[in-house]
Amino acid sequence: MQIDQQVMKNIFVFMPRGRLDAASAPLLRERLAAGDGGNMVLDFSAVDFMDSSGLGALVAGARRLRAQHGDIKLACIADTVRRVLELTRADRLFDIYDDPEAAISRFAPEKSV
Amino acid sequence: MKTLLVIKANTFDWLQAVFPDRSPLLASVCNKPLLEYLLDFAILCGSRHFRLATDMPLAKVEAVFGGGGRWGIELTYAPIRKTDDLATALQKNSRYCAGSRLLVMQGCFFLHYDKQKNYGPFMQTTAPGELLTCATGRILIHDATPLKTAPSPDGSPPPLALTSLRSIGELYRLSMRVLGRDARQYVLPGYNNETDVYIGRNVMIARSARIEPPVMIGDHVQIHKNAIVGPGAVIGRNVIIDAYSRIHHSVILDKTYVGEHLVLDRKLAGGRRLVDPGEETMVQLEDAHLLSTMRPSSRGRNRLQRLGHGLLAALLWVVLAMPYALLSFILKRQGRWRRSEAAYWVDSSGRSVRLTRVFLNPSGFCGRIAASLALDRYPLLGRVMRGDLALIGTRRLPATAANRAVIEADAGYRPGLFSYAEAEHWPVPEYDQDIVDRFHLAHQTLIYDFVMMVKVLLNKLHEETALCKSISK
Repeated sequence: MQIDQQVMKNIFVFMPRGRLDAASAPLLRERLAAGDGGNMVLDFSAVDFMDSSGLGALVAGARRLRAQHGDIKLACIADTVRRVLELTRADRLFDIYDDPEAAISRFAPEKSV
Repeated sequence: MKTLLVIKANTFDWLQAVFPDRSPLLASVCNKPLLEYLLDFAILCGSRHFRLATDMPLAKVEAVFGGGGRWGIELTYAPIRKTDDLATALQKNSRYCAGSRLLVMQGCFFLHYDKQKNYGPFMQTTAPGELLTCATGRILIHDATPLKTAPSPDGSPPPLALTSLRSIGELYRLSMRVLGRDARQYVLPGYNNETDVYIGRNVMIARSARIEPPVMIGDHVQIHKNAIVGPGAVIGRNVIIDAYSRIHHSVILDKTYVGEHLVLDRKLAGGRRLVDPGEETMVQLEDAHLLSTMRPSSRGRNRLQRLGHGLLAALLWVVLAMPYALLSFILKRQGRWRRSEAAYWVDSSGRSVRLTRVFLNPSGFCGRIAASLALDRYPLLGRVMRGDLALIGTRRLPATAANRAVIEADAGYRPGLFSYAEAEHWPVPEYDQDIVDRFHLAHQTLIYDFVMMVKVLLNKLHEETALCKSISK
């Protein structure tokens, strides 16, 4: 898996590509940990599969960021990923947008990195 | 034109209070989900793109509506959170909402329209803003672009009204009204050869049974000898009306068995629950021969799984018997082994049993070995062999009223001796454990459980080995 990264309006935007599974979850976990309490948007438009390891990385990353007063918002999730989030009720933990820019604009300016 | 439907769980609290195991999004009037009436209306308005944004589980709705192909539309789904207001829901769906006139339906209501009318021109020429409102919902039109054509001054708007839905009584009265008075306004499910009689597929009616219009019978229904159905009866899908029963001015929800000689007059029944819509009171019948829930048979699969888990538990019971006897004796003497008992729910029907909990102090050589062999769970192996627990499953929930509500609403509760989260190293709060438990439960098979069980045991062994190493360092 490859994770593209950019900063838009002082918000980290990560764009993982491919499958988010046991092999790629550590990379996502590492990137989210590097956020260091900032706000992030995860653009999932290029993720077509997520298993429990990917879910674990996502949930653990969100917990850690929130403990440091940061947050993660998800954008452009595919139906397969949405179903996993819903099945496990992890969707209740995240704000999910269909447009990364809308997700970025929701972060208050004072919370940006 | 596109349509965005925003429905939140709290608008269906009244339904969840009475029928917690039924999906509110599939609540129906005359065997047609409320959602489908909204779809039909949106289609009459010329909308071909429909999105449902909700904080409720969508799996059952997706199973019924899919991608909207049956209606010739594109239907998509979007999760929102229970704290989201309409502005947030619109922002979360901004890409979908952009570039077209948007019909927004928010809340829980019934929409009165007429299938004979063409709502397209009316919707295209109506100024953006609130179109209709009631106590529990509203319909709005969003449009950033100016109107292309002015509304025709002489054309009267087609009939359109909202009815609030705040109680089970209102849902019942609506069903009776649509069946008895307004049926021609809507496309209703079923074969309609005779006036006011709608009959679904695969319906068996005994020769001596009597059907009195108006009546609506869903798919896969059996009506046994000398039963009288109607006038004013709405029978859902997968229902059995047993012999000599009488159903008048009543609604029987899907998957319900109505026993012999039962007379239901002005009632709403679903599973074991019987509601008096006038008084808004509900009773739950304990006698399954009177009223009960019909469930799809998964007995064979469940039995096989229980057998597999039981055999594996028996194997562990034999293998760990000696270490358990020896180490528990030593640890008890050292004061590092305590036992207590507490009641736990063991299935989603609300059955509870008292389970032994062992508190093991893993310090010291014996404690570490006992912990790495998971001997604190050994006393529960008997419960697995008896079928009360799975060997590996979801987290066990103590038998409290709050947890009862959780398991009743959650079909995926299968408490295990070990939880799936233990196989995944999720050292996180309980809610996060539940997330991973639900994931694995949805994918589980007997072999899958076996693999996960091996992972749990290896994790236990690894944790204790790592602990030993760190102590020795």
